Amino acid sequence: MNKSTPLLGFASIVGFFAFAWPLFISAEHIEDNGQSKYLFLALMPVALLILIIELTQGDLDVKSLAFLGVLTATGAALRIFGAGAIGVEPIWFLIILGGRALGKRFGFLLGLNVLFASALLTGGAGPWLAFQMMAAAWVGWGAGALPKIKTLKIEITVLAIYGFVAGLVFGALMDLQLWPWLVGADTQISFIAGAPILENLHRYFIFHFLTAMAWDIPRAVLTATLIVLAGKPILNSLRRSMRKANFISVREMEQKVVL
Amino acid sequence: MNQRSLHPFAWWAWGLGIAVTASQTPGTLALILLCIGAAMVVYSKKSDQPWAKAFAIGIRLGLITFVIRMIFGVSLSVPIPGNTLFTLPTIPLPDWMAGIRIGGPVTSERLAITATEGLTFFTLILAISAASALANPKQGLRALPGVMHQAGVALIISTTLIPHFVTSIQRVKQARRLRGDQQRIAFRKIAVPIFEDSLQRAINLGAAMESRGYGFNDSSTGRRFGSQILLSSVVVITIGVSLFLAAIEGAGIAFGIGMILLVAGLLVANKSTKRTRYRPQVWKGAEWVVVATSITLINLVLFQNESIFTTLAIFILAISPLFVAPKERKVISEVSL
Amino acid sequence: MISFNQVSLIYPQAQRTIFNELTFSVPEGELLLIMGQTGSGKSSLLKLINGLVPHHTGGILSGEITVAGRSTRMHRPRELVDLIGIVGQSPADGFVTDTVEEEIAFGMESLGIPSEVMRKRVEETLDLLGLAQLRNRSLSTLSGGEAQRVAIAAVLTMHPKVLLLDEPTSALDPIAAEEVLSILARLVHDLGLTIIIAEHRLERVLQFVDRIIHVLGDGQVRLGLPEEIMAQSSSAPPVVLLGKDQDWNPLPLTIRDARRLAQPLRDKLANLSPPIRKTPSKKTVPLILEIKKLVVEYEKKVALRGIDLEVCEGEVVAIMGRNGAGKSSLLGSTVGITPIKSGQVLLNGAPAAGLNGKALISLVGFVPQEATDLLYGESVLQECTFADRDSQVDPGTTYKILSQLLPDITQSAHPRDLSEGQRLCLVLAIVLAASPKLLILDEPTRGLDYSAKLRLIKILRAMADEGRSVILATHDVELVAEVATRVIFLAEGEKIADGSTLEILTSSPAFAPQISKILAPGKWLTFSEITSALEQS
Repeated sequence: MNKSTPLLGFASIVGFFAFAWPLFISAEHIEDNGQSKYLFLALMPVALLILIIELTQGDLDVKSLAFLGVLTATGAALRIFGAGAIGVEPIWFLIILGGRALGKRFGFLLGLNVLFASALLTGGAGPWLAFQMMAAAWVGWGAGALPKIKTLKIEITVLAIYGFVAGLVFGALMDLQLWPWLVGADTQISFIAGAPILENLHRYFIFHFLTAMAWDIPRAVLTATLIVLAGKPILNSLRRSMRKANFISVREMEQKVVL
Repeated sequence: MNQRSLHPFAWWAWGLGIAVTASQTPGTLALILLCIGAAMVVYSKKSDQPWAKAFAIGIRLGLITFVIRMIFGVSLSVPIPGNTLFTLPTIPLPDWMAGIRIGGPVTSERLAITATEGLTFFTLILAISAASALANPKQGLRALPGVMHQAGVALIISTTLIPHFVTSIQRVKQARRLRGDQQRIAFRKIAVPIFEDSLQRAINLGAAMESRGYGFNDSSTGRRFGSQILLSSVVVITIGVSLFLAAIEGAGIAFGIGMILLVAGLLVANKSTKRTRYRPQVWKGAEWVVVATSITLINLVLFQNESIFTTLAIFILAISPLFVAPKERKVISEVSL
Repeated sequence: MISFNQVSLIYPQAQRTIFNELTFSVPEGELLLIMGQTGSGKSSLLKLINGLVPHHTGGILSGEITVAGRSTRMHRPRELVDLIGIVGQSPADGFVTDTVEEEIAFGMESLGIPSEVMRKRVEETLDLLGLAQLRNRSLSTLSGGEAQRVAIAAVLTMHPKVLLLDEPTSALDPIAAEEVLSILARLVHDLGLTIIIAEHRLERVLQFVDRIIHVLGDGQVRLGLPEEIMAQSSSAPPVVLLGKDQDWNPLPLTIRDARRLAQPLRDKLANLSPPIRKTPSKKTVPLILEIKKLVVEYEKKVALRGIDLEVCEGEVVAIMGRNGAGKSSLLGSTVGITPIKSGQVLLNGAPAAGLNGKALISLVGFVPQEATDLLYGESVLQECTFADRDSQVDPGTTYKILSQLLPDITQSAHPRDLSEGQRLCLVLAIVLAASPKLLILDEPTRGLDYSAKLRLIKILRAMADEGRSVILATHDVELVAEVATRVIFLAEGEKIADGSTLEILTSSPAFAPQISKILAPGKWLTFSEITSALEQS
């Protein structure tokens, strides 16, 4: 249990509510003129800021920093390249494999950075960017948090399933964020402040079905497919590089035997 | 030649000013003027760097969300009394979507409300896109305070390397075509060489940065204290969120305390890093003016009533960078083949 | 300045000892060369000096290394930055920022040096390395030599006393290499820096260095004056090989030294002529490549202006010229990947752009500059299996070719762990599996040491003997001298010379191989030519 974990936990809680507040908000907020929307829109960047400052201070050694920068660039380049050819982003497989090989904290940062860097250079930054970043960070973190698996083939299968699920969940989360913005508070599929969670969820799923679900399935399938196609050699490369670059923490290095 | 461009933080202050103004429902005319104003500033001051495309993309995205909003608002509305303009045919829906009725009478009030909300969101998107198009992200990353320097460096590395990888991908594709691979080239054959290349780079880069002294001055004592303040900040904010959701009094106070702790944590953490900046981006009068107009804009819309004068003032404040911001310089990059 | 005391190094993954109880010292102001075969430990020796080994890249170290009194065991590389600067093998990989000026300043930012001091140092360094007019250039647009100089500049701003360079000239053309090496010599003589280079292009470096460390690969090293080391070393540039063969005393290291001793040899050879290189005649042998009035244009620049070229089967053609002269465009249009503005490119009679798939690879085998672009397997054997499948040939073909090129290759080795020379052979085998009639190589000798180059020379000669044609784009004059039958010179998109190797290389002072410079006005290209001519007489 790292000393940053409580902070990560709380910030993720804030992040979670920034996504899912329509499900939990109480009835007194029905007539608030949309202020909750703006509050949670602004809250996510704040949570992200706290996370980024905490995660990138000192604990991130030069090697991890170099890997982070380079892998982010690879991911963003793949996104630019893939946008024309495939239409859906091939970045998820990179975030998942990177998080798997280099650990959950690295995966978290990788998710943040890949989304941010590609938005910067393709001009796709919108008010929802902070949300995309957080969701991608969770995907990266999750890949690293999956249990250790000895057999590579099984590991790839598990990662492919994870990738499929992650693709769907990402879409669902982003739609959840957009939900109050795209349908306001006064349509039949809007959220109702104070209503039971299940009822709001029902309304949300109708909304999700009508809008972006068509994109989720291709994204999920593409991610899983790419992991199956190239996951094994790339995961092996990542692990080989970590060995070649002698990726151990500064603390361990100080205790290393220097005769 | 080095011509000055407005500090990226100033552009973001301007964009946020417009965004916040739009969020306070200043009236339809004001919203439209804000959009026009933003467009005027962008087209007058933008460079030909890759991120300048952000505004055109923002317009497209904004229009799409506007249209979707209108469609939902009009076809799935909760009925309210008013002047019916026209009636849409009612479409029956499957059982699991019970309770939803598509279609029905469309009132002018419904149209107006939906359009205004849609326009607000559109303006918000435009404001953010405008700031993204005008603020140089690389300068912005280099101008980050010491506490976020490491995050900035990773991103600086990425933005510098992305064009290299795009070229690498093309090069590998060509090499594969020369091996006789036809049409759709297999993903693995391209991804693996690119990855190996990038990993080798990462190893070399790490060694180079270490050898050049990166991380020389990082100390961990001030950092620990700063972390604790940040932790308390985020805990307080979490409390604020719970209070807000449950509509219990005190949410506002919690958020206020949380933000103060956040700033305190930033300042403390900042003290523990000792980095200097070569040729930092200057912050001159123009930047102050832009920030000041942004703040004035927000105050105006918060505390003034809606009137024709307010609307006009909003417009003028929004386009103020037209008069004070320097023109973007062209970057010299002669290619030596 | 630098002293090694009983230094031993082992990497945990490898089985052998890299260094065994090494003890030597380097005085201040010396320009020291580290030479040795690929994989012998040159890079490791360099990285031991600034502490990257073991602090950054791992390794188990015993013994003591001190630089100006500071021990590398006590200090991480980043703490020694004001004392030691290192420039790695691919300097462009170490770039972090966008422009030349920012890159030079980057290191100082990390040290917290005040702004005015940074400004001053950047200006000084820009002047010192002749980079002033490049200051605002984007790093990605720099040539190899410019990037190398920027990397050196970035390190010099910290005012180090020791400078370490890993293969600074291996990727550079001869002129850029000269520039970099003269700058290094000037730094030593004018500023008193201690500079240590690891290099295997000995012919370029030998004249500048004070002493040489030869890493022998069995844990031992030999340290001494250049003449001593060269006398005992089997890999040496042509001038030394000639000197040893002719028993010249003192052993010449430079052209000038050799010329002073070469008169007797010149007299002996006056009435002899070099063996004629078998040059197939266009009248009797079919043309494999025909280019007529080729014009290639990119948006802003004309890359090729009306090139005519004919290559017939069995020829080995070298294409030379400065960077930017149009070599890559010419190669690209030969295989149909560079779009043609006007003119014709015919491969075996058919337009090059129209060829695809199996038809293409059974005609042309293209070895790209970045040979690793073609490798996507996890072991040598797997690469060969993939290649068999991609080339649509019988399984095992590629591996058979590879074992002929590299008899002692390990099947299970990861392709990226191979040396440059081994990787080149792997890619050659992959490309040759489809039995192409024309082999095209783009800068094949980058990063190759002498023995790998010899292997390549043998392979290329064998190709020509089998009736295949070879086109080489290269800066490496010695390679061209050994293997090419014809040489083409490009400059600014035009063909300015086209003739037999002997003619072209001996008539150009800058691009002549060492042997011909020594024996001018006699026309000789290689050491082996001289030996065989003397034997026959």
